[in-house]
Amino acid sequence: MSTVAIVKRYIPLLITFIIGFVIVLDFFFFGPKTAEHDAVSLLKATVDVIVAPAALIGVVTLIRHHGRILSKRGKGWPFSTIVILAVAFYGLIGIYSALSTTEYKNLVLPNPAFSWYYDNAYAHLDAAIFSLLAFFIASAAYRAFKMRTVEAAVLLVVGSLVMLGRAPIGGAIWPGFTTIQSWLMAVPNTAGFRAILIGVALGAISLALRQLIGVERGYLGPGA
Amino acid sequence: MWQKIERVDRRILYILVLILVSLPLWFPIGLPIPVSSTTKAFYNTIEALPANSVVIFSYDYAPAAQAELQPMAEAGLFHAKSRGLRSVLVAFWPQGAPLAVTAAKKVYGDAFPNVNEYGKDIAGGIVLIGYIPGGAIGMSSFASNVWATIGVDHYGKTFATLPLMNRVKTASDFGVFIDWMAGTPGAIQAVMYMHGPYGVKVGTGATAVSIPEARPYYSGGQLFGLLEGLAGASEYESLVKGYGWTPTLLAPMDAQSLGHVLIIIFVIIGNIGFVASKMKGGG
Repeated sequence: MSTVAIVKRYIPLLITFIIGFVIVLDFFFFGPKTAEHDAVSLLKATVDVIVAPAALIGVVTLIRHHGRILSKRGKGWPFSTIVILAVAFYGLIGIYSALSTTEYKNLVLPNPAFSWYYDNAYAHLDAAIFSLLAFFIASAAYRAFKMRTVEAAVLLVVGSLVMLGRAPIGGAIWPGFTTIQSWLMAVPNTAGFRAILIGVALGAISLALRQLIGVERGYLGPGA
Repeated sequence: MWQKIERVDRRILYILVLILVSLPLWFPIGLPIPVSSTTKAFYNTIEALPANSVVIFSYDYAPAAQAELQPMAEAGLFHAKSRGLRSVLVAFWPQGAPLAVTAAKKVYGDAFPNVNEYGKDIAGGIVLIGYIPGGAIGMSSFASNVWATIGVDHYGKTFATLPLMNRVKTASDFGVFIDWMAGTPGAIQAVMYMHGPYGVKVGTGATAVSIPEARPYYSGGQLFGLLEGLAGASEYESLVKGYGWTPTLLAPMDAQSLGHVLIIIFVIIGNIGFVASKMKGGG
């Protein structure tokens, strides 16, 4: 067994197994306010230590990706320029604010410059983009909701009933719309979603077990 | 002609949506808002809490969902304050923390956090912890050990200096956990990490698209209440009105009503055109 294989495969697998096994033990067997549970809590709290460098790696990757597009004048390069400028701008106002005031010494959001930028630019842009959905959904519903098959007809009728029942005008036209909508959400929707959720949960448990015992190694990257 | 009906220019549709959604914002119709059972369950659970209970509000959404979730998030905080409950505000989404600040300023005034109730274990006491990183794992860690997960509030004050936080060490200390949810992590993860292991009552106010997924947890008793999108927020506002809250969603609900009706009308027109052209073509 080569040293590379030990470092790239077996040590990460061992770490995964130990951490995963301890977390599962904690969930099912360690009671709240016991020493064992507190120890696992500290282990979980270390996720902050992992998340912080991950955020930094995210920024570096983002800049590298868009920097490459920009340098080659690739497809959509003006948008890449905007991304890079926005990242740089946000970083600079953070550094400037941290250096210019003693009160807000933590590089966190209540920093007034961050807050101003968030409240006056980001929040409005994000909300405006999401609001465009109203137009797209109206157009898509008109084009896609066609009675091509029996299933499509059922979807059309049910969708219309839910839309009417969820808005006050439906109840104003006929109170029955609200009752029907309520039943549709509580019974068929819940039954369908419960089946999906149980299926997803079984799949997730299976995947987690495979990762825990080292059968599934895709997360370690190629060659592991 | 039937093909024309079936293929109305989308720009006409956009203009009609714009007009019908905008008009009620200036000239509200005032349609009555019936309160659903899920909203009543949410409201009644908060009403039944002992006065000194701690309520954790989690702002797990971004400005994209602000129109739907911010009104209920503000009304919920107002409800808790009015009942003399203690509120602790967190966010497992980075964009959620500033929205929690906005809600707190709306309810406690622009001077927030420099208000008498901040950090104190008194009626209406409040602490704003802010963003907790780590997504679902961060939520699990927060439930296990609040102080070890994040030892300071949003403004850099250590928990030891905030008397209210002396009562908030693990999920067992939470009266209820309320998640304003637009995705993951959200109320579903709170059910997994707080309701399951600690028996914490979890409630949610969620965007309309998140509701179908949350419904099974409500009917299973894992969520004590559900505010369903803008309509749920509007219903909840009408209940909190009794404490002096000024409803903000009457006009937007009228706009939503007209928007829904317009979509249904166009779906009907589109289908008439579709069926007629099919019959004419013999298909």
